[in-house]
Amino acid sequence: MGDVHLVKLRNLTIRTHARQLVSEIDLDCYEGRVTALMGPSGSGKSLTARAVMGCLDVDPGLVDGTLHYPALDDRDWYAPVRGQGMRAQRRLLKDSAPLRGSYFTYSPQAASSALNPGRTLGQQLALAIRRRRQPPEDLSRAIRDLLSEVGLAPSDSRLLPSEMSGGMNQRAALAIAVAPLPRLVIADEPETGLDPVLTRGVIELMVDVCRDHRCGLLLISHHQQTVDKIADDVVHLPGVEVAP
Amino acid sequence: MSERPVIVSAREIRKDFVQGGAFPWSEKTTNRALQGVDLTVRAGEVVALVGQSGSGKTTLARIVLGLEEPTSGSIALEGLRWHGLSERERHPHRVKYQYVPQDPMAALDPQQTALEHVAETLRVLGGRSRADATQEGQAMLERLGLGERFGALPREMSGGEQRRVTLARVLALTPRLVVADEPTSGLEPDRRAAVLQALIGNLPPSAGCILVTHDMTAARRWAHRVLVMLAGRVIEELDLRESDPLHPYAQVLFDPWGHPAPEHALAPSGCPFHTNCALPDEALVGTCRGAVPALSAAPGGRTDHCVACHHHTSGVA
Amino acid sequence: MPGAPAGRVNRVLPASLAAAGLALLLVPGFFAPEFLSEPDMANAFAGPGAVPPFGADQRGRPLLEYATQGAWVIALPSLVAALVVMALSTVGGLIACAGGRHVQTVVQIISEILGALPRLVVILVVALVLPRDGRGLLPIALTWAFLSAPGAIDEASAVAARLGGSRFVEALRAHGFSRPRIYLVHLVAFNLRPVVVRQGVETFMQVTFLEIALSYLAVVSNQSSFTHADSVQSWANLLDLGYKVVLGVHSGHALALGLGLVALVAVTAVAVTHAVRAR
Repeated sequence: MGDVHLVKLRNLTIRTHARQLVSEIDLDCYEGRVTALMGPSGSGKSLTARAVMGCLDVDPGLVDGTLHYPALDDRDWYAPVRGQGMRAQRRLLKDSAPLRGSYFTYSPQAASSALNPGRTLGQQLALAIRRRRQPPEDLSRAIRDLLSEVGLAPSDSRLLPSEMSGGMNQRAALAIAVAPLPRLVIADEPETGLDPVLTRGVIELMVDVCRDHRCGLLLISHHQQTVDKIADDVVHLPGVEVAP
Repeated sequence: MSERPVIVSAREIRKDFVQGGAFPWSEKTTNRALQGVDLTVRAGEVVALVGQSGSGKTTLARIVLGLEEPTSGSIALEGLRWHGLSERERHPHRVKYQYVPQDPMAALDPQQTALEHVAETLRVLGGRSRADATQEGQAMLERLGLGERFGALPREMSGGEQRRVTLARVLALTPRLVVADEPTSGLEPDRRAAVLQALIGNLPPSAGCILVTHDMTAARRWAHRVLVMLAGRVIEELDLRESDPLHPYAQVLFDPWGHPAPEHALAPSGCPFHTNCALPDEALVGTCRGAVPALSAAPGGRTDHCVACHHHTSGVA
Repeated sequence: MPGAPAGRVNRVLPASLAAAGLALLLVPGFFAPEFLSEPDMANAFAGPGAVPPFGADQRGRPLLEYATQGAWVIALPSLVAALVVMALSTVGGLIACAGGRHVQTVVQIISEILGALPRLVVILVVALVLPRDGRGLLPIALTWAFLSAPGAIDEASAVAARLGGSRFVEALRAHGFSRPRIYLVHLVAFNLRPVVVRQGVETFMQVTFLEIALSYLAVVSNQSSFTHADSVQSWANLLDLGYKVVLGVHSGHALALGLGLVALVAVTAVAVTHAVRAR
């Protein structure tokens, strides 16, 4: 294939004491490609995405599965955790902490949750940029470049999240997600709360920016049309009937 | 449909929001949220207001309910003059014209259970006795699928359930008009259908409904008439089940991936969409840039389809 | 996301405890004698058996009189202070929902200034400035109440803001409810109630303990008390008598009574807060 293999997840099975949440899911992410994770409410999309990052917060949690980051090494991160309960999962959380924010970044569902309400956009970008493996010499130049990539003006770096519109917030969240130059960006339902025209704009931007930076994109979405247009690979999670 | 009694009659509604600057002497900015909008809703009709954020649809809905005062224009509800009234004059009629807010928790008291909410409404606003209110409240909640949740507090309920409690309250009063502001925002597609079914499926037969939404699938499925708004004006009015949108912006709104994405900001003069419009305009170069198109009958002879586009109304399509 | 079920809130037990406690604290004061009984040296330091129900002091005078006189000193002023704080807090919560931005700004400024004043210093100044024959707990209690008000108002405003503030009011108005119903029933009775009552009860406790502390200071430095006339005994006297048990003087029952009264105040406070808590 030629593209660097970033995440190799096989046979992921997560359960609570009451029921099975995720069953035997396989997932692959590649550099420069878009993988979509789809499924109805309650099917475990966010849970799967968090599991890819090493965040397992359900009891007893992981009962089966293997997780490799082939671009890093051969290690199976789930080996010490399979069937071992919460304590092992907490240890995994700690061990995988250095990866979060540098190997992958996570953009949560409501864009405003990704943003610190008390810090300006420029300050938050600076924080994210400093997590790069090779931080740039000229920080303000890097900030300006990022802002123009996502379609924001350089003067917007002085704004607080509350002073920006919903669409601007989404762009800001995208800028923060790519600022540390991660290998993989995980975007959780970026279309939430946006009208269709804005949604298309934001998602296209996300795909373009990820392609430009040669990072992979794991997109969680329930929007069939979007996924049809932009996803290279699609993983379907079967649904569980949950009352709305 | 046209013989049915008119519930909402709004004419030439304009609304300007004036915002002061940082200092008392700073220049004030005026946001022309609505620039001459007409709206008619008849009994038994569901009208959807669609458009992107900032198009004025929420402002229009709030003005219809009397939560905002229009800068100019007139509104009548069931023939009764509604604009320019004081709160005290409007108060006795509010029971008939109900509002479902966008935030499901906005109208819910965190200290009351689902049943207490509906029973209170029936007792205080519906004049029922305590026992009748409880019984009818239970029936209403059951109809909306909340039969197991009588004693649940709002914080114990999901967003969809909270919305349905608000719906139960509103519908229990058998209103003449229901204005629902983005009732499905934040819900996943499979849950949206349930909420809209709960709302529209339980409307009194002679009630009108205004649905403010940017969920186009919902608008197509549930509305008898759709008003597409852009920059404070109605640019197209049609029955989506019978016709397809003609206005270039409406087409993008309903099929974002099937048309080139708008890249430029809206134009401040002339047709607001002309900076993004893909239609060739050699013959109308000056017109699209200079004149705001008026809403007029679309070509094709349908009387219920109007569009505000120079191309379509001048015969050059 | 659905949370854990609330369960039925049992208010009967705490409410009964609260009622009993409040009765014990507020009513006996009305039966306090104006002056202590005559000394009866034969009964000096007698226990509850000889001089029911609580025993006697070093001059044979019943400790019951100390308890009731102390209650008289404390009861009314503490109650008034509690009511003042509850009223100001309720008004603060109402303004957060109903008041325009200017009113809210004015309230905030006044709150900040009052809140910045050093509480105990102001109390002592007020206590010293009072004329001797005008000495009583009420002026001190009222001062305390006004100084505590800013914190209480902040909390009530936060509750109102969490409800949704003016958007909550607008949504319920649009539904058809009248303003009195929205403000008095939904805002005050359902939502502000737990917070405001808790603040009132806290103030009651604070004023009570303040009185005991100030009187104790006066007792150990042989001064006239700030809070009551010389002919009246307060609970501080009980504690003073009681702590002398350390010196080998037999007043264990005075100490028990003194600490017991303090405990009664605390238990009543907790019971009241529990009885009105939120679901």
